[in-house]
Amino acid sequence: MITSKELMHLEDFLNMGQLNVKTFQHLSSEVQDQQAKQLFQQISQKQQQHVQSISKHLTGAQTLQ
Amino acid sequence: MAQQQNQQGQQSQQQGYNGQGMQFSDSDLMNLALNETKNTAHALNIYITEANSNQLRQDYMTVLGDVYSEQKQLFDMMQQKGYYKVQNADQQDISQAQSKFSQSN
Repeated sequence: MITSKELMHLEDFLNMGQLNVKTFQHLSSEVQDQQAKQLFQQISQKQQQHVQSISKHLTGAQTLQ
Repeated sequence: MAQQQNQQGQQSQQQGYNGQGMQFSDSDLMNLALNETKNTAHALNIYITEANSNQLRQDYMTVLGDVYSEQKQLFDMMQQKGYYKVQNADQQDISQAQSKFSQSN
């Protein structure tokens, strides 16, 4: 079970997370500095994992109800 | 390094407030990235303090920990490259603050 506020936040987080993954990928393709390129790429991948770990709470809540 | 940054800043201002012909410098792109991590951390703080489920709260906290370290990595890299300048506090202001708080002891 999740509260309506938690649901709202989950949606906000997942939207933001998905956009962040794309944003960091884009920044990585734009930036000339190699060190920054690599760091942006790493962050993008990490945020993909974050989206996955938090989205489990949505699927989890669905099966419980 | 500082001069170089100033030149870049002036250049992007000259290139126009209408947004045409504007180029993002590496410094701009890193600043965008840094802001992104700060905004994410800010949002996560709200989600954590308003979470009902312990597990959800814990998972957000894990994510926030990662976001903090990403923010620090970005900040350190920018500072190393001279894109982020911090200014030391004024010595006189420090002694003033110090005397203010030593009175209450």
